[in-house]
Amino acid sequence: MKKLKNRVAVVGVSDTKASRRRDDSTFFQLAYEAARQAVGDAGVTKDDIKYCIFSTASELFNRQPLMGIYIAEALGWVQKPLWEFTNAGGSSGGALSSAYNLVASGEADLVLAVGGDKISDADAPGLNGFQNLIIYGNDCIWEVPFGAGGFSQFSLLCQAYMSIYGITEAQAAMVSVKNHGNALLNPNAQGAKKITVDDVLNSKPLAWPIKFLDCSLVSDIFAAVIFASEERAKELTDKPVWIKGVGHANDVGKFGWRETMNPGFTFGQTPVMRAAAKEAYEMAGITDPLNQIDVAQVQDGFSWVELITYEMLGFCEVGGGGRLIEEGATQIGGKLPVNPGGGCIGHGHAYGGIGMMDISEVVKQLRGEAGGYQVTPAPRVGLVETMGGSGMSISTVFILGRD
Amino acid sequence: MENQDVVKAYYKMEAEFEWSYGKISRFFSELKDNKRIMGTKCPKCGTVFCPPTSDCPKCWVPTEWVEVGPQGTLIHFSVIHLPNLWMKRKAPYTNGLIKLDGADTGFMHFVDETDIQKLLAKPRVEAVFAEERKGYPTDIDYFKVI
Repeated sequence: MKKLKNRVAVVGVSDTKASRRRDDSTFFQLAYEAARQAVGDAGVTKDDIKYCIFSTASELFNRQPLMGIYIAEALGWVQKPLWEFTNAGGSSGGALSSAYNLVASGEADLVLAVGGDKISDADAPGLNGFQNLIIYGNDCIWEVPFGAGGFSQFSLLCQAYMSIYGITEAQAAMVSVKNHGNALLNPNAQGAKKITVDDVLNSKPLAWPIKFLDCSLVSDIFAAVIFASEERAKELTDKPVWIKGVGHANDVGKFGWRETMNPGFTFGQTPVMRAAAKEAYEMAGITDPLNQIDVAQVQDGFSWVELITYEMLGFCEVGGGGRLIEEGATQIGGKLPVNPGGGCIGHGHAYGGIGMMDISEVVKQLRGEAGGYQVTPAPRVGLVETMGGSGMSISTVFILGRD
Repeated sequence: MENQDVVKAYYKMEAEFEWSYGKISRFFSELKDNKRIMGTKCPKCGTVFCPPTSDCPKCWVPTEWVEVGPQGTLIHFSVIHLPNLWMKRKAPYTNGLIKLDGADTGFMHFVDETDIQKLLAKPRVEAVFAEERKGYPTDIDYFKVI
């Protein structure tokens, strides 16, 4: 088990409105806006903070190599460190693990983590930048020549998951119905709508079994959080939210190697999530996730992915994801509400800043400040899971608590 | 700062590359010259990798070349309906993970079948080589269901 040197609290979060396009701002202006919100929420100034950890899904989406330099510039981060992480949806998990370790080790008493992407720069109407670039996150020798990009990879995984465990398209569609529906309660959400399972099943096929309404949103979002040492947290707030557990894992990118490199796992599973959760649970003393965790934000890149995530995080048995959504356990009011604000399908897809956005969401829930989508009674323990890399090759799990 | 009308700009990024296949170059020369598909076997754990690797990532020892395929079994697939901007292949097309005979890993390629029920049956497939081969992964044109 990981032995902590110091306790770490979340003392500042951002509250960004999710948008398909933010023509009013550049990427660095969005990062500034998120950082300013988190600093304001924490009641500190930027001069109180030494380290800034920054994450982006891919610099190319923002048309700016060495992007961190321009984040540092916008934040006035001079003569002190700003480190950059990039790994698609897995970027923020790495950045946040690093931010956590800086405080837990005693190196810093306050750390700012900011992440996100302005996808619309590469995805303006009629332009192909995002679609052409996203594929290069796959293996450029063995996958890219066959058009095997994000859609292909995730649909391969979803197909395998369905056929190995008997999960149905209708069960996956229930995730989309839930998350779009939760977004109706969230004034910051981009994808609020009331839809039915049939709407999802009848939406446009993109890559079987994935249909249009199974997909997460495309957004321009940056989000930020501030981690503090115990001493600083107690000075700053009466309501600190503590980080009780952290776990992080990587896997091979090449899909064809997954089963070979992960003995005991099938292609319809994501061993990285299982490994990250195991580490975080051990640290936080979680042995019965469904009963010990009160609210969760997980990366719902596609509807099936949320079901796989239930299983890999131990909310249910392997193959039980479809049953768990059918029982309503993960709805608001259920045993363990998952993505109560709508997640990536209903709220917004912060991509390189998913972890900052999800920590912000769980902190709001634990503080009792989530408004219309507040889980009641106010949760005491929350979970954040991020995943990404090349088709779920990276995952990070955080356990947060009020105590 | 007060709200103001935004100004937009257009930019097209172009970049050319040439890269070496390094220690797995033989895979491509065999494909081009002999229509043979090569994997690599770890002498320690026995895993046969295709796509090949010069050194076993599990054991960290050098591997040995072995011939695999050209037939194999489709293990997982995806039928893509989106038009593809960077390839000539028209949608819908199928990406398959194929376990080539003699290999332990899956090999990603095109499969010449889009009927989901037929694909779910995990059919046997065989490599169809391109007429004109250049030492690229696309020297295998596609895998046909046999």
